[in-house]
Amino acid sequence: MPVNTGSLKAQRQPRESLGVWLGRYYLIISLVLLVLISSILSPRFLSQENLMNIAIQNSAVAIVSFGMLYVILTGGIDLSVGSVVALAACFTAGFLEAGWSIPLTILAVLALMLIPGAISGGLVAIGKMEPFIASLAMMTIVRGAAYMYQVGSVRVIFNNAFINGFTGNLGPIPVPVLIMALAAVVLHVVLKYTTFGRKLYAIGGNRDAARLVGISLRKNLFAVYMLSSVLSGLVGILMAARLRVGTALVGQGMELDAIAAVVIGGASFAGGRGTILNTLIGAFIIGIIGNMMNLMGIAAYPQMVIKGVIIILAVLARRG
Amino acid sequence: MAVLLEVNGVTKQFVGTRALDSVSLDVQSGEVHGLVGENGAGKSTLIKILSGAYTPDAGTIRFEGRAVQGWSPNQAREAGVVTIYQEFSLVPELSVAENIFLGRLPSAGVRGTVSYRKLNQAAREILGQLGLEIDPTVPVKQLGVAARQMVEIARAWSIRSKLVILDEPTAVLGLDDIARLHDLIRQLKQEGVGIIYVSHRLGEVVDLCDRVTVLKDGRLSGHLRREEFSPEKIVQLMIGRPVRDLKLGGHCTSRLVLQVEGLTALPKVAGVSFALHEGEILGIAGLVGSGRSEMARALFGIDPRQAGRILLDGQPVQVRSPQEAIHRGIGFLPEDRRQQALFLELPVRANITVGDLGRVSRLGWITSADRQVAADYAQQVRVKMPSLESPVAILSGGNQQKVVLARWLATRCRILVFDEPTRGVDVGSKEEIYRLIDDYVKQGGSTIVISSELPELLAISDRILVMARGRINGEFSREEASEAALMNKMVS
Repeated sequence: MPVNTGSLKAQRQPRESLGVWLGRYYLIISLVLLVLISSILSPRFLSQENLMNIAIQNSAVAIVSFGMLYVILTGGIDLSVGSVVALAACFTAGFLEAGWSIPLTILAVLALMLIPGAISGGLVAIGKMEPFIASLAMMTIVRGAAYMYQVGSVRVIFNNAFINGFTGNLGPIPVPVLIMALAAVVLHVVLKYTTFGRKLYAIGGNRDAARLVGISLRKNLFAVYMLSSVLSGLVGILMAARLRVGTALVGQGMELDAIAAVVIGGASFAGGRGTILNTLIGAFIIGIIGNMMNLMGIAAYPQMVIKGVIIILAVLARRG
Repeated sequence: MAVLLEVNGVTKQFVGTRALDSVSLDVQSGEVHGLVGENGAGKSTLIKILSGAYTPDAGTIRFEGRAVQGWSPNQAREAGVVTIYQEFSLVPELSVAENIFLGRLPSAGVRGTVSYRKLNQAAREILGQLGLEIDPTVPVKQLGVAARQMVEIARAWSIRSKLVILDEPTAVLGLDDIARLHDLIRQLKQEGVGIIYVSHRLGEVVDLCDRVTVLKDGRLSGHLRREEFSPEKIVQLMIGRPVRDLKLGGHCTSRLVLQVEGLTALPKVAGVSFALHEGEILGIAGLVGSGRSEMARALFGIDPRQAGRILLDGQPVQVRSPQEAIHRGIGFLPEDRRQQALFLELPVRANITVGDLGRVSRLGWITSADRQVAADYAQQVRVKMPSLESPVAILSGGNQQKVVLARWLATRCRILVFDEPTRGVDVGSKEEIYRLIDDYVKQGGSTIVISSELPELLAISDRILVMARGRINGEFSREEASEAALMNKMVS
């Protein structure tokens, strides 16, 4: 019998209400504590401008991490997301440059991004390849394709309607944040209230059992990689608008940030456990820490070290 | 005989429940001490305390006269207490010899090197002492379940264990392997090793044990000496009432539902043909390795078939995947529930409705029928659970099996294939599961029940097929069937 250390701890002490409560809300508590500490460390942190900044910057990673969560729920992983972001950004700039209309550009980019997802998904679902290997290969293939399409020079975007549309505000809320919120709501609802979502939890929870109750691994695995890729494509479009260029350099290491967000959000790498809300919080915990370090003037390389340490601590803290 | 282990008034409390309530027992060296009780009676908790996984809240434990309550698993092992769980702790990729000597491989002179010559020699010696014919150089993953268990015991033997705790050692074994295991246990006993033998199979306990301790609801229900025990007496202590003799079945009609012709799924199934009638409980007996489980898997479309036809209501049908089988109204309850049927972290509700999500959804959206259907079927099979939202992992084996049954009933399938329906299920729930199977056929369902427990097959089957070496080796009507007759066909 697998021994759940978490519950054993709770059993040891009869006064477990606090422990259980902490266990359930540790993510929210961590986020609140982080905001408190940050506002003490830097008075600029709570300024409206900075908060907006955090929200806009993290919308990209958050959306990518939602797709990652879907993949991880099935017990897989998608390392190609950062590369897909880059390819989508390059295509966006290229299509706009070619004079395509904005809706056509968006549709074409999203449709094209189904292709890397279909390949990863096909390799995993039909070819029975390890998700890590399949998506690792796709990561370099897609990044390479982005560089090839870019042909050396970055493509600057001059279409102001496009840039304003994706970087402006709708009412008081920045468009990228709105898109992230919309994605969060839709993807949350899908996980919680559709048979598709239920099947993903089943596949991740026990693949053999899922097969034996007639759940199609092929169809559903294929679908999650497609979804992850399309969400990354969407982020590529957002990034192109924010940077005003299409470059293959964008989205480097984004797969790691997305995985970190999912893991800090308490999802199980074995699959079958995790939620959109917690992943969103996970993404923002990482984002706020990065923002704080920027405000405190910590250089880029130490930031990388600190980020890694925090991921380790977060996972250890969840276990303990 | 010296007293090896003394447990006195041990109590262990978990949130809300007292898993063990001042339980006492003693084990002598050279004694096989049976530990029985229904699921949830506290056997596992007691074993875990003895092996150092749990610390008792009260009471004393003395091992060889030394107080040891609250020792760690390592301390327990070093003192000579080895626990062999149902889930083995062998490394499948490593050889038998490496597994036996894992952590203390003989060196080839230089620190950090391994002498495989010495290792295999030593392993051969150990296996020889126990009379086991296992090649020490083959990887454990190539061994069957029975041989793996023997390797576990060989490991325990090789470290000179003084007390070996066996948790349901025969749950996964066929009859011939059980006999060999028992020989091995008797040999350990001869050498003065104390053995705690946990089993649901009371016949074995009566055969093998010198004394039996019965637990019920975390309390000591009684100690029995060899002269005074019988299966009936033990059951009475386990459930607190005498068992009724139950005879089920008898709802079989003459209408053919399923015909299987020449079903072949190599290497284990070589041309199996039989027919199943409406309302029938068709028992299938056979040793482990006879192809009985593989036959079921091939029938359900899990494993590929090389040949064979399946006819439903006289019409040939394709069943190439579980999906197709379910679509045709066939359900399958595999022998290994935890690995192959349950979604342990998901709530009972989701575990029940996952078999037919179409029934609880509209256009892909899960509706309130999810709760309703789950509640209806959970009630129908009488699952004991805190709530529909409790993770299925916290239920007892019997209740988990009921959840799986509820799942298939919710799909409204016409044929159910049970592989070991009551494995790991306590005596009380067993009877309930038999009644549920009976209810199902009474309402026009048809079932195939594969089981290694012959009394179970004899009690519930309308007809029994015996499988051996991948074929049907005998067929018995309820009147003709007896344990002896079945055994004869199983081993011939």
